[in-house]
Amino acid sequence: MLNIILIAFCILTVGSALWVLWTKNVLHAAFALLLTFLGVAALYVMAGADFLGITQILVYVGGILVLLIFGIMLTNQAGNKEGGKNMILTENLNRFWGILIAGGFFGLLFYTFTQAGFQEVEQQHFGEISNHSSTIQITGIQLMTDYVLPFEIVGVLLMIALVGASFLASKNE
Amino acid sequence: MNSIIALSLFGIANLFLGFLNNRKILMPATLAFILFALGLNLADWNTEVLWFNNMLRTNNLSVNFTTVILVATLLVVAISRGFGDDEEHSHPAEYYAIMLFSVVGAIMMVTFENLLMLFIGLEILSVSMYVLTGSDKRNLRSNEAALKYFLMGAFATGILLFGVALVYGATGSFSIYGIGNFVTENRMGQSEITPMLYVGILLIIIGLLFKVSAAPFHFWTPDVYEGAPTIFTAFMSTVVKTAGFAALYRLLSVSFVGEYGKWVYLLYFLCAATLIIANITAVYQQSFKRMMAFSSISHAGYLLMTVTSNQATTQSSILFYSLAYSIATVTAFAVMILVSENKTSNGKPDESFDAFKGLAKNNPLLAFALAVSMLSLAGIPLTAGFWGKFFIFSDAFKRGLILDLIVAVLMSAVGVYYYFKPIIASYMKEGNIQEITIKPIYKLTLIITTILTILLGLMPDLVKSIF
Amino acid sequence: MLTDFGYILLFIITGIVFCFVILFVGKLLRPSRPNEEKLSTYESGEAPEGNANVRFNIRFYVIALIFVLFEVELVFLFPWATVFGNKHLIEVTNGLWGWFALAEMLIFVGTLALGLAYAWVKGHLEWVRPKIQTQDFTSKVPANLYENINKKYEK
Repeated sequence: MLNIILIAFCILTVGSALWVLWTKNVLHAAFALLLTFLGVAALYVMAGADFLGITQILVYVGGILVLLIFGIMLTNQAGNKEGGKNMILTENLNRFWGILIAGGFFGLLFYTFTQAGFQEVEQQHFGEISNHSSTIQITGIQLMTDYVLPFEIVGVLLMIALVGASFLASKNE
Repeated sequence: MNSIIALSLFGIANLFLGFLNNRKILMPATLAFILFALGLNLADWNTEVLWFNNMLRTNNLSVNFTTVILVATLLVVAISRGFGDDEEHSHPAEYYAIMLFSVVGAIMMVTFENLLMLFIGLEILSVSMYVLTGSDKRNLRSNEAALKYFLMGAFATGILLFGVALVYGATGSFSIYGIGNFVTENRMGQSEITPMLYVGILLIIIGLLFKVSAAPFHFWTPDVYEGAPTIFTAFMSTVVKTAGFAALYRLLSVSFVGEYGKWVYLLYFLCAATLIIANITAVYQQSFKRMMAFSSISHAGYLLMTVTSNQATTQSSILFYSLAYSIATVTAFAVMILVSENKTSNGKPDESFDAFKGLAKNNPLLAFALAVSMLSLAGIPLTAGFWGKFFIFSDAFKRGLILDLIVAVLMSAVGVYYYFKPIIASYMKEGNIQEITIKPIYKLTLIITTILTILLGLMPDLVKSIF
Repeated sequence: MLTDFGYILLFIITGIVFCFVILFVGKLLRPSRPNEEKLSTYESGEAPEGNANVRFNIRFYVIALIFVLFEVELVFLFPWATVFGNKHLIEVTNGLWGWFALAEMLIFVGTLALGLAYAWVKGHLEWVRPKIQTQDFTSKVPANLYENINKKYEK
């Protein structure tokens, strides 16, 4: 049963990712990306990282994708003035190098993960990992104790992003 | 660590200083902040501390790197002139604050002990640089440069993060010493290492080479360096490069030294490729700023050579070279800012070599500072750059990197050709540049950097013995 | 944990299936007699004009940018909230845990609050109003001419 659900989500993720790749309409690509994000979130959950899955939905689906679609809606659409369709279409450029690099990267990762020996690695470094308890509390305790410095520094990083983004995006000149 | 906290607070303070209706105090305040951070940093000398559960390590090496970064920042701030008198279109408070924040990231990149801190530091530095690159909002080239830099930088960060994840999976540790122990023990035990480790190392190296702009990951550099406001180009080519190489060196020499026999080949050839591509392309440039971009790529090649050699002296070579290179680069950009603002073509600052024609006649100080910095970048004896190259070449010689050495010597000769272009333009050619008025602090900075370059050229042991 | 998410999955599947079932039942029941008026877009009684995807104003974008940043902050707050009041941890550490966690979170939120304060004072949060175009048309007829005429016919 779990395997069937896993495979279904894999197909959803990869299929919608391919849709992003092949569609020429940028808005369709954004909507297909929504499905990809959802599929990835489901895969995180099935891998035992429930907090990561929720974060994925919150931040990527709820935030980044909204920004992306806003970005598309902000873009100058020439067709609108003539009353025609005003889709933003993309072109394929550098197809040879794109396919070569993506294919090479895929081959490398495919080889790596088939040769990785995940079970040995898990036993060697991580011990038994329980798939049935939530990771949120562990994350919280770790954030407050071992990883407190990265946690605070991320606050600084977010503030820089806030200042920089509002500085760049605002139009007060 | 103390300087990280202090600089974060100072950055916030700078943001809010901007609300005072007095733009004059911003630059002195920033200089004071950096000097204070420098003091805090030097107070850590000869202490070895691990901070916050092995997140950061301060020791003499990190103090040295932090000092180089802070000195470079100090020089850049000193030549920033409060970002002009253009009340409406310049935002000095934001610029200075973001510069201070980016220094926080740079310091984290040289002190990290945990790969998480490397990633966050890199991210802070990069995000700040994207904003600074695009800070000239009315200039289309600046916007384009920011977008290009952002896309390439985000891509590189993603690759680096993927590498970190793979290395963590293979070794079970984020700590650079933990990874180093695992790699070395496995080398000794001759047991099967999962290929995840090698792919992880590869991806981390690629991600960092993107950031320091070594070939073949350099293609964004010329456009970004040319499009960004010149003062931030100076900042980018000094601070970011130093921090990037410090991070690369620490990772390779501590964590992955057990696999030296594997990654050395990658860097061996990339180093030669970087040197050839950068120097040959630089010869054909007409714009001084673009030439400096290719020159920065070529210096990444030289620095890569000493990282490849991985000798005991490598860290002091990187430090000395970064210092010499930073000082010379800031001087060159400082002269360029003055000259190009003085001479405009089509309403834009003229950044070509022609702008320097006849500079020496009425502005002997500027011409001399430019000449010294160019000589230092070219590696002519009696300047700091010569010793920087000398230390790096001797490292490479000790390791026997013959191909890299031959290429580097040849390309240094090519470098002399294009570094002499502005010198020839300013001393030999006829031109009509009037005397340029320079603010006292600007003049002082130029004099100090020029003296430093010559002093380090005469007596390199002054700092080499510390490093 | 997986069973909990299984319920969520079931809800999602049920929602999607329910949508299709309702639409399908509606299709079976309703008469189908389309004409041009019925098929046109409803725009409050006006005749629809132009395209649906018009160009948006930049003001939405700035707000959305700031929203994303605070959403990321929220993601960090969430695991903290689950362990902040943990009785066991507080007892073990003799009450220190609570204060420690609170202080850490205050520093984190404080940093971002300062950023927000900056954006607020700078006016980045303000709704950008469109510039009202004032007409700078100046009539050749002086204004007092009208007054003179008014005075002339006052009596």
